[in-house]
Amino acid sequence: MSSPSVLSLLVACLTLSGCGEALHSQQPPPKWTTGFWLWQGSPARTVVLPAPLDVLYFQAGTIEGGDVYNRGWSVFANLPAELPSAREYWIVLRFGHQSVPDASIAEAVAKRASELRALAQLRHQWNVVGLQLDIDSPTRLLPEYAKFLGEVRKGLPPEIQISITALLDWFHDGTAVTEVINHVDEFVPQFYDVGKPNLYAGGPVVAARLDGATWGSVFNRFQKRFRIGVSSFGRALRVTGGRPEAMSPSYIYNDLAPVDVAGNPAFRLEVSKNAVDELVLTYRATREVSLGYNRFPPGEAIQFILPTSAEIRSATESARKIGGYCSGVIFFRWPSSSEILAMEPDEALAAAGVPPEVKKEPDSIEAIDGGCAAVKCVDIYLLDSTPLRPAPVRYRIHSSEQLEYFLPEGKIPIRMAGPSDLELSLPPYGGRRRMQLGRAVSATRSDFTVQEVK
Amino acid sequence: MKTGSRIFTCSATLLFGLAFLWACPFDDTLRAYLDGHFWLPFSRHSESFEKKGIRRISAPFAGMVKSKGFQPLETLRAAYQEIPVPQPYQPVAPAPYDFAKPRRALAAARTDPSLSRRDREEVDLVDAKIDMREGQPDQPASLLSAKKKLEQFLKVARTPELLSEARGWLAHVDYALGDQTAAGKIYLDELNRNGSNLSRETLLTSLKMTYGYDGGQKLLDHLDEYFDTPEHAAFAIQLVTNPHWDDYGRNGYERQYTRRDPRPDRAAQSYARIQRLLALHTDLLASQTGADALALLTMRTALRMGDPPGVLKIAEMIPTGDAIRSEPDFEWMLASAHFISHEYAAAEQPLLDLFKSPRASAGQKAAAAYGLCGVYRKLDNPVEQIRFALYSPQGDRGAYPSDGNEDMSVYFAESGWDFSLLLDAEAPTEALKAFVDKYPDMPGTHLVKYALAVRLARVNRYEESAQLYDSLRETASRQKPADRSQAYELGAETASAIRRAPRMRQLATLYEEANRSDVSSEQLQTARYKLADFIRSHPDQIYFNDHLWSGVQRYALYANTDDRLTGEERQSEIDAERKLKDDQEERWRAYLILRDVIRDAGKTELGRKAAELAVLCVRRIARDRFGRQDELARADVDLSKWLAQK
Repeated sequence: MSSPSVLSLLVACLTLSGCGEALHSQQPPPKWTTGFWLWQGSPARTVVLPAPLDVLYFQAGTIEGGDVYNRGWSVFANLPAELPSAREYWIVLRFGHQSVPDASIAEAVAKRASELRALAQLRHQWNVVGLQLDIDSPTRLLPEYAKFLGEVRKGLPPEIQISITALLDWFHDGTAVTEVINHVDEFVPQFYDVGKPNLYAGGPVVAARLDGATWGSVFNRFQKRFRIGVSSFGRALRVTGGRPEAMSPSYIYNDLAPVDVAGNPAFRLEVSKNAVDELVLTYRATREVSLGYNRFPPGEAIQFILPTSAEIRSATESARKIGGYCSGVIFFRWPSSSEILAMEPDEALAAAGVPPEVKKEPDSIEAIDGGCAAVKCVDIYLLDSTPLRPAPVRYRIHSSEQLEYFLPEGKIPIRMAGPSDLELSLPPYGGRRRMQLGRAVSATRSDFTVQEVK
Repeated sequence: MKTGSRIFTCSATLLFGLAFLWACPFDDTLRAYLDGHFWLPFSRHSESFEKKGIRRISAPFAGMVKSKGFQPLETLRAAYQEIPVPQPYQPVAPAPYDFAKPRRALAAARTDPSLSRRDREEVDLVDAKIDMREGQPDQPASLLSAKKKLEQFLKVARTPELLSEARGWLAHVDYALGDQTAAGKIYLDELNRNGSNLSRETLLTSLKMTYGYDGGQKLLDHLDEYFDTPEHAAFAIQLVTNPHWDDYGRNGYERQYTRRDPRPDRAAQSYARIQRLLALHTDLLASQTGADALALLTMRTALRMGDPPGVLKIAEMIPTGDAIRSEPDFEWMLASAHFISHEYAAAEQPLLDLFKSPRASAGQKAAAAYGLCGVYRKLDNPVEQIRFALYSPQGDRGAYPSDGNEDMSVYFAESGWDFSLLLDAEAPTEALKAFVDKYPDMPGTHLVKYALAVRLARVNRYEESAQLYDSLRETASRQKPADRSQAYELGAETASAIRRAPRMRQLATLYEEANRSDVSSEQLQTARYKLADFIRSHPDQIYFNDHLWSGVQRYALYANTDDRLTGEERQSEIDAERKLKDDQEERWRAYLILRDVIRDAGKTELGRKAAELAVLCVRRIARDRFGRQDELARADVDLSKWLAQK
């Protein structure tokens, strides 16, 4: 063998061994897990589950910097006061810009993650196993992202794993996604909001269809553990344009629910399902109408895109079929205490086939003392187990004592139907999981019951 | 340029106005005695647990004497003083400090054989403090080391000021490590320890930082651990039973979309546990003062946890004449329990006792006075209700007492709306008269007299009204105002009375003419027209009480949404509000007279004039404030059509 040939063979061997090393292949994960992301902002919804979650990724804070103000780089992160019970926790740090943080902040990121892990153990006995970075790096910046991850890895003790969220665009041919994945222990491709930043690129849809056969081979080739990010949240949009295919969104509402529009006769409801089985409720203005400070000319609409059990079931089944290194699904997201459009965790888990299924509580009334000194006044809440019923529903609420009077909350369609009875009529999809109906005033303490009127 | 400048000025003024309104919204408290939280126990703060006459010292802290020489101890002091003190809210984190330098100085000082015992103790304490400075809540290793050293120091050291300082730092380290109980007990003991080297302000602030308002969940969780001394137990129980107003002011949106703060409920759920603890540790409170404290604590707990019968039961067990019965706390809690139990008559005496008590603070008296307003409202005794609604702890009706009663869970409605509504709508005219007769010299009676004059005008008793205005003017001329604001109030009122008295006399004549039976119909209608014209040309100057509302009356009239009233009270209040709006609106009253003139005069010149004037009246009534929108709109249309007909 000539010298150049030997040299070539040596180079080839070294390169191959380098590649093999770079892929950091793992054994395929043994156990399937189902978990949630919990996002910062407001307290998490308290939900009693029969068993702890497999895994919970909680946003602890953000990486800041690289903005127009040029204020330098920093990490702001803290532990939430409370978290849903889980066997395994991941600290999530988000970077909000469509870019990659400067490598100079990597050490601080690693340090803060280590501190938070220690604190989580000390204060709450949370089993934090890793740090997840949620960075929407543009595909062209993936080499830079890989460098950043390498720096973070250097600062982290070996017991803290690194996970990243991953955009589907990264997995096209010719990108540097392999370099990125080399530095992490896990990646989580997100199958929702694929059309960012134009959230309406694929029509009224939040989730992205998961084709297990196609994506399985793409993700498994890295020989790294991955989990699939599945959407369990909804969205409310203001849309213009008459026909569904011509509609475009002009505004996203954060706190609007179907119940806020359903009872308004100026809106007509159109119900449909999109390609991924999400429920699409379009409330179209039939005449000029105001909603809060917003005016709607005829034809404009408010559209709700809501997760359904069918969509979650289908996504989970597809993910399971991927096999190989796929170790589970993560739902985005665990609802906050005031969130309306996200699916309840127990419902999402049930749709994902995680046993045991929580038995559905019947509809009930929650009465909260209103703090009156000379009468008994209580705020009445309907706890609706099926708030998005496709048909109108009527409830009879009975008070064990005669009511002096009842003050309805806002425009809730409720009236006194007798000295001890209230009647509530809800339009299709017009419920809320926990809906304040109004304040009941009686001379003495009263108990309330509710019955659906058939 | 001129236009631009004008736009800028207008925008700036508008922005300033909005900012002012946002920052200083007016007080809309009304009938606060109908709120459950009004009757909660008075809240307690760190200051409430401070004993009187504690003597403190102010010796320099270890390592803080200014170094003059180069002896090892002096070098250590200088090195210790170089350690940067952590500053909160620093925009940029300081560079990490190298603790090797003070540690080297420490090692050198330890080897110095010339140190006295006190010096050696100072070195030991500085050693612990270096660890403490290095430690952070997120990195507890150094803090734990500091704790160990401080505990050891407290076992062996003998210098009093250093011991006191060490206790303070130990509490600080406990606080940093999240041990509220250990930190709090030390601070509390030190607050009342003679010879403490920690300042009162430091200790009060530290207690506030450690416990906040009510100690939070940690205090609830560790309540049992406070039953080691009577002082700790009383502190913990009183703090944990501090009243909460969390749901107060939650608007509809918040009630719909968010849950209220669960902490107060968690505290309330601890009732049985607190009762058990109090029963279990009666030995702690065995002395006479201890027994009194126990009774008050148990009453406080029962009241806070919503058990008024429990409060009354304990109160019954205390013999008549026992000193505890004259404690302001006792009187308040007894009255509260009666009121919440709807035993309004029984609440009267303890509140009167509290009101008269020389031991009660201005805030507590204000609480009693406002509570009595509620009691007399329920007992339908408007004369006494007016008396206590007039009470002002500072001589200025509606002003806050100087000791901040709002901090005691009681809110003395600064709005003054209770008083205004009482005089303007709720109390019968006869009650106002009875009050003036019964309390002619009480401060503030002039306001009742003025209100009575207005009320008499509303029922067309103009001559009596004029006489009252005259008497007000005379009284004012004899009075010497206590201060500027009273002088202003009296001045404004006198000016109004001076203007209104002759107006009432004019009205008396016009009214008499309009109600004569010995004239022709035409003459009668003309007289009625004149009366209506006079009334409508004096908006807010005849029937409206210009000394009660400061321009915000409409916000006080919300009986239809007030859910604290019984059904009967609510209806009566709604009726009273409607009547007030009708009675005080000059244009509405003029319209009603003109409507009769139009009806009786028909399509005559007078009828047409009356209709034209009636249209003016109807159109100028502020409908959003007055209501009856549909009725007014219909009247406008009908009158316009009537005028259009030939």
